[in-house]
Amino acid sequence: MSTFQGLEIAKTGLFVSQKALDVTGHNIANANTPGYTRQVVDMASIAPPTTFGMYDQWGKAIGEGVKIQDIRQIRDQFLDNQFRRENKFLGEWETKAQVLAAVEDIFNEPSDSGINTVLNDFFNSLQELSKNPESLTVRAEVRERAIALADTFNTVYQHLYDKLNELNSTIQSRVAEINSYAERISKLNNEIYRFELTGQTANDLRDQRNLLLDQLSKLVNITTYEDSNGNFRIDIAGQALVDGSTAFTMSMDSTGNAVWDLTGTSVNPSSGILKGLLDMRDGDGTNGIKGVPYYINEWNKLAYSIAKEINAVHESGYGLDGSHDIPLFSGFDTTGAYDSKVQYAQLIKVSSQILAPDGLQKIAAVSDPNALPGDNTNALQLIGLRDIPIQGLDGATFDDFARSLISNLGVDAQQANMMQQNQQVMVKQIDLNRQSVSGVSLDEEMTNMLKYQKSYAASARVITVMDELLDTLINRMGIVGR
Amino acid sequence: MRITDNMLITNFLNNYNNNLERLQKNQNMLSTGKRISRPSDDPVAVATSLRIRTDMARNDAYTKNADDAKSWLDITDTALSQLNDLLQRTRELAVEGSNGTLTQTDMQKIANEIEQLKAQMIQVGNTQYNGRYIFAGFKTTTQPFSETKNSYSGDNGVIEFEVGAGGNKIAVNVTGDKVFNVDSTGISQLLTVMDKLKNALDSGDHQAVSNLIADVDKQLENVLAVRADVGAKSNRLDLIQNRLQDDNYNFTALLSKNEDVDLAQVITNLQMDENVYRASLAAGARIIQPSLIDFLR
Repeated sequence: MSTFQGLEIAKTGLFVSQKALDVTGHNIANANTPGYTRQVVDMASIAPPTTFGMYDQWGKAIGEGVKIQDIRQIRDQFLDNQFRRENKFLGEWETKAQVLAAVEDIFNEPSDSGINTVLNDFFNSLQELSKNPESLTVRAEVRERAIALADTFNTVYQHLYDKLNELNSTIQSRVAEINSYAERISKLNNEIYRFELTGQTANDLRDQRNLLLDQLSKLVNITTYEDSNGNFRIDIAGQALVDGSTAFTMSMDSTGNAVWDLTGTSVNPSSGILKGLLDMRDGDGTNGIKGVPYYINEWNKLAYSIAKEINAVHESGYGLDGSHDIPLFSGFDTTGAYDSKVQYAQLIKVSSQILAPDGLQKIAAVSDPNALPGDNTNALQLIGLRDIPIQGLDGATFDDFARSLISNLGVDAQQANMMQQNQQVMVKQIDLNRQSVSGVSLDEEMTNMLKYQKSYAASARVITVMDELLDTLINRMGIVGR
Repeated sequence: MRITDNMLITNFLNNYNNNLERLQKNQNMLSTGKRISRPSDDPVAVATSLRIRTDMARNDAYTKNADDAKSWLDITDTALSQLNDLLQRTRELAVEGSNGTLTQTDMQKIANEIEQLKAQMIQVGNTQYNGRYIFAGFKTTTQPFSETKNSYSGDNGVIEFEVGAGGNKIAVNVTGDKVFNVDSTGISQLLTVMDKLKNALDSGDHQAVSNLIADVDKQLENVLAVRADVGAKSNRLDLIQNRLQDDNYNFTALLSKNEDVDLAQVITNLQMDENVYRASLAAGARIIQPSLIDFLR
């Protein structure tokens, strides 16, 4: 046994304690860093050499101190996967809830300016007309109410259309965001790969990558793999987004679809913010997906049916001046068949004949030209339309249809809100579990700090003792009689 | 479970946020007085609300229509009552004129009064309501009767007001041809009788005057019958008005029940939320502060 072995052992103690204090410091420094995973020092004793003849005079071997086996991250891959699985649904429902809330605001019900009230006002003005068909004042009221009705259709349509455009540009920026994540992750992959070639673990780079993955997982559904060679891959529905240091980009094609740049095939996300946006932009009610187009369609149907039915009765009647066959609403052919591609709600307006200076005369309250001007039967017939089931509205009346549109929207928005809240609770819970495993506890680090500080001090004391021993050996031995 | 400092903070922030959200929601309810402000709050209640609002708006229109119909019928009734009085007077005069002892001068005086009465009857026939001739059928802007001829210029159009859901209508006008008994040739029997009476009085023919009393009675009966009809409609309108009023009350109550908040409940909840909010703040202040660092020298 070497004279200085004690010093060597104490030295490893000093170095390892110092390293451990460094790691503790690193942990404390990063206590609030997003995505940071606490690191611990795995220590191991250095076993005595097994070479023959290296035993000490007692024939017993002791170890040679302490070494650092690994600086390890405390991370639970299972929780990571769980977090990302739930996070994509949170992204999807959050988006849907936001868009549907905006659509709710656009329809603005219940209120004094929604379609329900506007319809009430319009039909009540017809009631006045039926009581006083000769009066121009009453006729002016009918005209104003008809204009308000057409305006309501136009305005709501315009807002819905704007929402659609807004969704389109949001999708574009989200696609760009996904591309940027892919780019950054592929670069990190490369760095991690090179770093780990040296046999070390790239703890902090991995933290960065995990954080990016967490954020990406809210945007789109992803699955990740890492093979034994350290090659890391991200898939979206079986198609690689990132493979090692290569990122595959996507973009929006001319039809507004998100497609892979490499193959030109559609991305087809199954969840995440991107899916939520696509659903809201494209959902026309098929497969039960009701996005903005669904509400535009229903709105168009209502506009078309009201213009068609009102006009049919109005044109059969006569104005005060004996005019006949005058439409109340125009903007499109109100006698034509319904075409789902035509934006009736955008086109509907009060006809130019009625809007003309002598247009009040042309409002048709009379059904028999010989019974002018007191006949109100046509006005009564217009009023009667309100209670007639309309074929173009799936057999509902105007009011019923408008109401069911609003309540459908309410049910959808409520579901999205509830799903969003559930997912939020879920994601928060998983994140807490993750923090419980990976988060830095300052109390714990303080305790560790004390531990390592003490062991550092103790190692130093061992060196002092060794020094004293050697001092005794060298300076105080064999000096008898000097 | 291992607890870290950040977990405590995150947890606290989450819960604090939830409390604040609940507080805000209850405060909102209290300040608006409404339980629902958007469809997603309660889709069923919103649909019900919209339906009740529509029903109320329609009810308002029906109420206004019923009121207007009532005024129209009242005017008609007044006119018919005047006509009745005029006919009664005519009858009295006819009975007087049939008395053989009257001199020609007396007869002439009576004839003059009969002429006056006829003029008044025509005036009644041209009664206007809101600028419209009420006895002219649909020809509401044309005088139905004139002093120069006994014909009727209106038509037999029946003006109806809607006074209830499902096309519940009531006819508000009585056409002049019924009141003045216009025959198939378009000549008013009532006015003809008046003319005949005047002529008979002018010529001093007591017997002819006496014979015409029966004709006057017939016209009286006719006017009475029309009046009874108007009275019956008026009664029906009273019923309808009552029902509409009841409906309006019921709808208002239903709407309030459907969308108004239960104040006691909301205030209690708000108080509770406020307490929880304060407690969470206090807890936060306690949890976050101390750590081992505070106790190490």
